[in-house]
Amino acid sequence: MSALNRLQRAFAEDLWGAELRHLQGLIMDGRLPAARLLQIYRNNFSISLEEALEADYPVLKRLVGTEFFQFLADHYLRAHPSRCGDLLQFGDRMPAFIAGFKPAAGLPYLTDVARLEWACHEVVHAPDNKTIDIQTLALMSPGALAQLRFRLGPACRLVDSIFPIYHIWQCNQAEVEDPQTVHLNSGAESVLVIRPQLRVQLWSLQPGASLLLQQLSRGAPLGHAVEQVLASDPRFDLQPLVSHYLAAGVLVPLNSKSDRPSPAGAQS
Amino acid sequence: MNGLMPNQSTAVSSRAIPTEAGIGLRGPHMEALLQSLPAVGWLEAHSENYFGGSGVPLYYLLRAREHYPVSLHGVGLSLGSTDPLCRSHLARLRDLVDQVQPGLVSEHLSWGSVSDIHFNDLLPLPYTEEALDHFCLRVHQVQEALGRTLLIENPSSYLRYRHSTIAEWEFLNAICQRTGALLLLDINNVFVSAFNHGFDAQTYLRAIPATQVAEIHLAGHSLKQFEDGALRIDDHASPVCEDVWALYRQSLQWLGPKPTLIEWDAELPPLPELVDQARIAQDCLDNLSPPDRGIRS
Repeated sequence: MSALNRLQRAFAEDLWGAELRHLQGLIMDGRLPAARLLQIYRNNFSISLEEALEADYPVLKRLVGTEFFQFLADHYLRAHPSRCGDLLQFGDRMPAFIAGFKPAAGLPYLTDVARLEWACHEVVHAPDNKTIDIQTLALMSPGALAQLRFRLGPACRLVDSIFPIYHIWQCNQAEVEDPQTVHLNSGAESVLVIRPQLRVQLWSLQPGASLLLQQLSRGAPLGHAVEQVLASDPRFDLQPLVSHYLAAGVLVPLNSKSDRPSPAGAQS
Repeated sequence: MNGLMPNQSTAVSSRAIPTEAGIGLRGPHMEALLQSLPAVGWLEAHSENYFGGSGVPLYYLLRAREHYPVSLHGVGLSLGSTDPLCRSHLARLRDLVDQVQPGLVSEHLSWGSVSDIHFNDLLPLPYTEEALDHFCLRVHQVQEALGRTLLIENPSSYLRYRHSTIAEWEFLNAICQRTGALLLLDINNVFVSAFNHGFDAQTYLRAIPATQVAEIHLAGHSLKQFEDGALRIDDHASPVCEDVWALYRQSLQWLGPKPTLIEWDAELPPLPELVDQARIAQDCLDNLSPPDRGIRS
């Protein structure tokens, strides 16, 4: 092990810790004592990672307040240290982490809020959705259509919750100064996170739409998904919904030559 | 949404960074920038912010790239780290360089990870022969992987190691001589570190050969009073201070005109305020008296 490697390991130990131990004798006193100089780096490190989490989870922060969020972030960055020189993926474990975070156990909806916010983050960075040529599908026989399978468009995420997650999210946007009360027992909500162009949108889904997208995104053929939806709501008007989803690039047919899943950003 | 991404199929050609003032490209300014297309010479983007390889940030960067020369400035490659060079990081940087065709690519004289854990910060290296050998090896590796010259930026720092044996400016000069890399000279960082460590900023700057400097950075910092002393903190959250402007003007006399970037990363002002800072730098470049222009370059 080289001297430089030993120094870097000692530095890391002291960044995680609260005092100057491993670097004792290695840092010069300057305008401030060595231990206080190291504290500058300790602060920078935790603040920059906290800020990265804040950028990913603004609603979560608003729900729990600044102080609790810092406490949460500090525990998170110790449980899941950054493994990468960029911070794009740093917050990916927050939904699972908060689900097991005992001090937040009294707020069981936080996990789903975190899932929703991570979905927004992913969609910002995802490749664009593509419009599907509905004419091609219109030419297919009913039997072939029923067998057709789909996946969600690249800039789409489906987030289901037993909580009114869409309303929680909506009432806790930065611009909402006087949020209305959301009743947690007001029922399950399902949200489609989608980026039609440059701005992420949240579409609150009716139960039939939610069931359709759930079924299709899990690989069920269209015919089967339609049966499931109609079994739960015989009057559900599916055709305009499916057309709309195809036009918006929410649903991408699989095994179709022109719309084969393509590498990121390869469309022209 | 077909065709949202500009220039996906046709390769953009590289545009050299002009010897003018530019600004750091930041997410919240993107729309205002593309709408107003302010008169700045070039833009600099933080490479890692575009590592998603798709989506909104890259869209804006490529749109901006249609109007301005762009340089890519990395904060996360951790060149000074003793961990093996992160191949996936390097691969994503290479992909981004292919897409953006930047005029310059830069990284920092620092380290940021050890034992596979990243601190996502620019941590100080000891200035020893061992660290110099190691850093030069890494610069070689990156230059080889990218097939281009890398710019290395001098860091701001808050501590020094007892066992350092080389002055920071000598360390930087040695890197450039051994690897062919060029310098991204951050004058604010020199000013901050000079105060924090009690060395003379002019000694530092006069020791840097003009031909070695390919770019200059300017930014704001704060003077923070603690109960037991004061430190200058390089927070990029304010305009460039008068002392740093003075040091910049003086440096231009020694270095000749150089592409100069205004960095502003926290508490972002409205875009016009950032553009105003670039205008001050441009005035400094324009007002260099002819005999001084490039006297040593």
